[in-house]
Amino acid sequence: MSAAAKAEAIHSLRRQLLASQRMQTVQQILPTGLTSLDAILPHGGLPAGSLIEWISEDAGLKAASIALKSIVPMMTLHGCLAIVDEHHEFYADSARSHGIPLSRMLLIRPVYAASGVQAAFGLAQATTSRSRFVRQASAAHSDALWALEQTARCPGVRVVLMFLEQASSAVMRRLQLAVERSGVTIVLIRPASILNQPSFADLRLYVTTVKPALAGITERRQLKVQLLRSRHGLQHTGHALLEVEHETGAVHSISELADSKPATSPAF
Amino acid sequence: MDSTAPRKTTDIDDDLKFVRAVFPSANGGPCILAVSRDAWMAGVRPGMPLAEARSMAQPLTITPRAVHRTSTQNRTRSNTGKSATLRPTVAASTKELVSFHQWTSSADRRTLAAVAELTRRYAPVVGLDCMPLPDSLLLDITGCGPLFGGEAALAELLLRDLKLAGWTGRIAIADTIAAVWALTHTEHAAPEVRRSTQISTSNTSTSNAARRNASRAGENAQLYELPIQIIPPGMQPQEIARLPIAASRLPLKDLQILAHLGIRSIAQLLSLPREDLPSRLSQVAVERVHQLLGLTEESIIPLPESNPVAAVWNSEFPAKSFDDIRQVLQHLVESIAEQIERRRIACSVLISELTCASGNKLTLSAGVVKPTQSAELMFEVLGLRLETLPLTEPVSAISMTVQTVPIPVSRQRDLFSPTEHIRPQEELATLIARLSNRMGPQSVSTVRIQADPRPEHSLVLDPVIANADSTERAPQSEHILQRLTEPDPDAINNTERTLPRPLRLLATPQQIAGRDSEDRPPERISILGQQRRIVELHGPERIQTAWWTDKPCHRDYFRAITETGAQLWIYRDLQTGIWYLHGLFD
Repeated sequence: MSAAAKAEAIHSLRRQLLASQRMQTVQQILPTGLTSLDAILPHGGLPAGSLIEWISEDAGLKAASIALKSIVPMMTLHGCLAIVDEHHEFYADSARSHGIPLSRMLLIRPVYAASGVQAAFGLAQATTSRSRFVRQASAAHSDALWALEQTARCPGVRVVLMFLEQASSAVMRRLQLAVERSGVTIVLIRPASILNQPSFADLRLYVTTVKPALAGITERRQLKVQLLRSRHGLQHTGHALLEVEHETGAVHSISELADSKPATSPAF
Repeated sequence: MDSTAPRKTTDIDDDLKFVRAVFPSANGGPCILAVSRDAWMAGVRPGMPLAEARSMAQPLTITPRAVHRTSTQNRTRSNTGKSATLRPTVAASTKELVSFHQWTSSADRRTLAAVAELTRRYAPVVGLDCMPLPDSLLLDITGCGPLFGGEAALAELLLRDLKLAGWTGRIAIADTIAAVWALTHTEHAAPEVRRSTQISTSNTSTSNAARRNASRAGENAQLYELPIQIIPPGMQPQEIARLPIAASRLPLKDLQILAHLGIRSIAQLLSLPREDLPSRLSQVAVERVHQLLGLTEESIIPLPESNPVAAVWNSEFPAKSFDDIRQVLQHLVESIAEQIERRRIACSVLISELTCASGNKLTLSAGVVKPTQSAELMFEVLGLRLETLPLTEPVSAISMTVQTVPIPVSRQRDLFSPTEHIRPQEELATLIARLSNRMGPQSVSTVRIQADPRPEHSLVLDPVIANADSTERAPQSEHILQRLTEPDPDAINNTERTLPRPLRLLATPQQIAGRDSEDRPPERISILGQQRRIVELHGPERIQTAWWTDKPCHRDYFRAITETGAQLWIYRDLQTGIWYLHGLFD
C-alpha cells in the first residue's frame, strides 16, 4: 500500500471512529438554562445518564447552587432528585430558590454522621471518645457511598447529588458503571484538593471566583466555570461567566465568553 | 371512671389526660364519664362525681312507717298492749334506677378493635381514631364502593352488620379524616344511646381518599338523624364550615383561646389568616387546621388482625452464625409468603423476634414502601436489617409476624394512558426499602416546610417508611411515589423568590468569635483549617422568636464574604453577644 493510500485509510478510519463515538454518545441532552454555561458544554447542555463533577475552588463559592440550577430542566422528566447528605448539612429550603421543588426531593441521610465542617474545624464531639468518633464517621461514610451507588442504579431516580470529598477509583468506577446501566445522572460536588486525581466523570467543571478587579460590577458576585474534562463529544475551550445576585443568591448567566472555540480533536 | 387506672401505654396515658382535662372533677376522685339515656333521664351527667351520681340514681322517698318505742319507762306499763305511734321518717329506696360500671381505656380500645373485625370485609385498611379517648373507626374505602353497589350501599350494609351485632353507629364518607370526624362528632339533640350490656358506643367513620361519584344520603335511623352522611366531591369545605368548632379536633386549650376570641364555627376558624395561626395557636392546632383544609395528608394506622400471620422456629441447637440465622429467616419468610398468598393479603412490615440462648430478646423489623407478597423482597430487606443487628450470642428461637394489608386494588387504566412511570415508581419503592432497612427508617425522608423562623426548625423530614414501633401515622406510599417521580413540564419557570439561605446549614452552629465589647463582627474566620479574612458583611437580618417559644432564638444574621469570594452565613447571638458560623452558601 502506498503512503498516500495509507494516509487516506488512516484518515478514513479516524472519521469512522469519531462517528461511532458520536453514535455511542446519543444521550438526551438538556440545556441548563444558563446560556453561557450551555455554550461551553458538549452539545449545548448536560447529558442525562452521566457522571458530572463540580469542583469548587473553595467552600461557599456557590458551586452546588450552580449545579442545582443546571439540573432543573431534568425535573421535566420522570424520576426524583435524591440528595445523599452524609454530613446532615443539606438545607433543602435553599434549593427552592434555584427551581428545585421540594415535592421531588428525596433526602437520604445515614443515621449518624459528623458535620463535615465541624470535622474541618477540628472540633471533637464532647460526648464521644475520639476512637468511637472515627469509627462512626467511617461507618457513616461507607453507608453514604453504598447509598449513593444504590441510588445511582435506580431508574426511579432522575438525579442524585452528593457532596463527596474523598472516594477511591474503585468507587468512582462503580458509579460510572451504574449510570451507564440506569440512565441516572450523578452530580458530585467536590473540593479543589481532588483536581490532580484521575477522573471517571463524563464532565468535570471547575468553579472559581472572579477577582474583584476583573469583575467590573461590584454589586454582584461573579463566578467562572471552566470545563476541565469531557468524556464524550467535542470540547469547547474557554469558560463561562455567571453572576450571583446579592439579594436572593440566585445564579444567572453572563452572555460574554472568553476565547471560546471548538476543539478539532476529542478531549482525550 | 377509675381515677387510679394503671399507667401502661402512651395511648392510655393520653386518654386519662384528656379525661382529666375535660372533667376537672376527675382529679378529685371517681366521676362519671358517659351516661345512657336512662341515666340521663335520672339526672346523671358526664363529669358528675360518682357519689353525687349515685344519689341521683337512688332517689329519696318519704314513706309512713310504724315506730315501736321501747324504753325503761315503758317497761313498767301495763302489758295490755303495745303502744304504737305513727311518725313520718325518711327511708331511702333500695331500688337503683341505673347501674354503674367501671371504665378503663384499654377495655374501650379492645372493644373497638373487636368491632373493627366486623368491618374488615368493607375496607382493606381499618384503624382507630387518632384522638384521645377514641370512639371511632376509620376505614379506607378507596375503590371499594363499586364492589357493594356504591358508597351509600356500602355504608348501609355496614350499618346493618353493626346492628346485627348489637351496635348502633353513625357513618360519614368524605375525602379526608378531618371531615368525617367532624361530621360524626357533631353533637345532636338526642343523647347517645349505648348497647344494653356495654357502656361504650361505636361511631364508625368511613373516609374515602379518592372520590368519583356523588352518592345519595342514607335514610334516617330510628335513634339518630342522618346516620349516613356522604359529602359529594368538592363540597367538603361548605359542609364542614357550618359545623361547630368543637368538631375541628383542636386541643382543648386552643379551643378555649378561640372561644375567648369569639370563634364558634369552623367557618370562622378557617377564615383566620393562616400566617398568624402559628403565633396564636399550638403546633397541633395549626396542623389540624391544615388537615381541615386538606393541605396536610393524614393516614390511617391499621389495627392488627386478630388472627395474625406468623411463623416460629425454635431448636435445642441454637443458630451460631449469621449464615445459619439467615437460613432460618429465609425458611420463615417462605412460610409467611405462603400464608399471605393464601389469604390474598400483602406484607407491609415484617417483624422478627430473636431469642438468644441466654434469654435476651432482640427485635428486627423491616418495612417496605409498597405492600408485597414477594418472599425475595421480604428476605432481602430483612437481611439488610440483620446486618445492623448487634448479635453477640447464639439464637435459640425466632418468631416472625407481619403487618398485612389487603392486596391493593388494581385500577383499570385507560387504553392509551401512559405507563412509563409505573416501573420507575416500583424501582424507587424497592430502593427506599433497601436504604431504610440498611440505614434505618429515619434515613430516607421527604421534605416539607413548616412555619418557623428558626432555620434549623423550618424543615420537617418525614420518613417514607414509618418505624414499625412508631405510633405515628404511616405515609401513603402510592401518593408519595407518584409525587416524587411525576415530571413537571413547567419546572424551568418554577423559581421561587425566597430569602437568601445557605445550601449547607451546620447541624450545630460553630462559635467563631467571643463577645466583643462593641459588638463588632470578627475579622477572620477559620474554614477547613485555613484562616480567611472577611472583606464584606451584608446584613443584619434579625431572626427572633416569641419569648414563650420553646428554645427561643434571638439572632442577627449576616452574609460574610471572604477574600476568596466564599459566602458564609454567620450570626451574633443577641443574648450572649457570641458570634457563630451557621452555614455556607455553597
